[in-house]
Amino acid sequence: MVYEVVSEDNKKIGNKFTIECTSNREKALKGADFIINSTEHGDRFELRWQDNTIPRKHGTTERMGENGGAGGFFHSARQIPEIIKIAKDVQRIYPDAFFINYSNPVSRICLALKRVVPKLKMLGLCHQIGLLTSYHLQAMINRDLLEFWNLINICMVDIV
Amino acid sequence: MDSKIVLIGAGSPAFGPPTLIDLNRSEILAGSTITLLDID
Repeated sequence: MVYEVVSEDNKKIGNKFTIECTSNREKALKGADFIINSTEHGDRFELRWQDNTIPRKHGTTERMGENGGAGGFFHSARQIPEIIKIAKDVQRIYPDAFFINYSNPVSRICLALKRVVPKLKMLGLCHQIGLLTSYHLQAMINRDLLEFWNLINICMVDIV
Repeated sequence: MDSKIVLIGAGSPAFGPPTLIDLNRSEILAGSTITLLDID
């Protein structure tokens, strides 16, 4: 379904990109220059709910339980082993590729990747800064500053 | 540019289509191949 949506969007922008889809990791990673990881392992909504509520029952004060605290630890324990498998495949199949990680908990995943796969060319990013400039800042600041932020955002995308 | 960009986890509607919009903001990446990868 996503393939159809992305292909349709690509048509609207004059077929600027070539779109392909696969479920074969080996095939996808072969010859890749940039690999953007945004995977969530396990039943995301049910497990996130548990990450949030179970530590609270035992007296923690965390708000989300996604990236910090005990819930963040459980989340890390599910995410890190799987993402390290992907990173090892990247090293094996195409070691020159640049790995960009958006999966949470970003800081803990990146720390693990740095320790376990130290030669991987890797960067951890949070996409929420885009949402912040597109939606929330509009209500918080004046227009001029918003345009300034959008300019920075565009520059950041170009660098990536 | 003839880069190959792989999106892992692209089966998510919240990740695949918006990422294309992000990549579209870059002129340098025009002509690249975007590979959507997911488990199904």
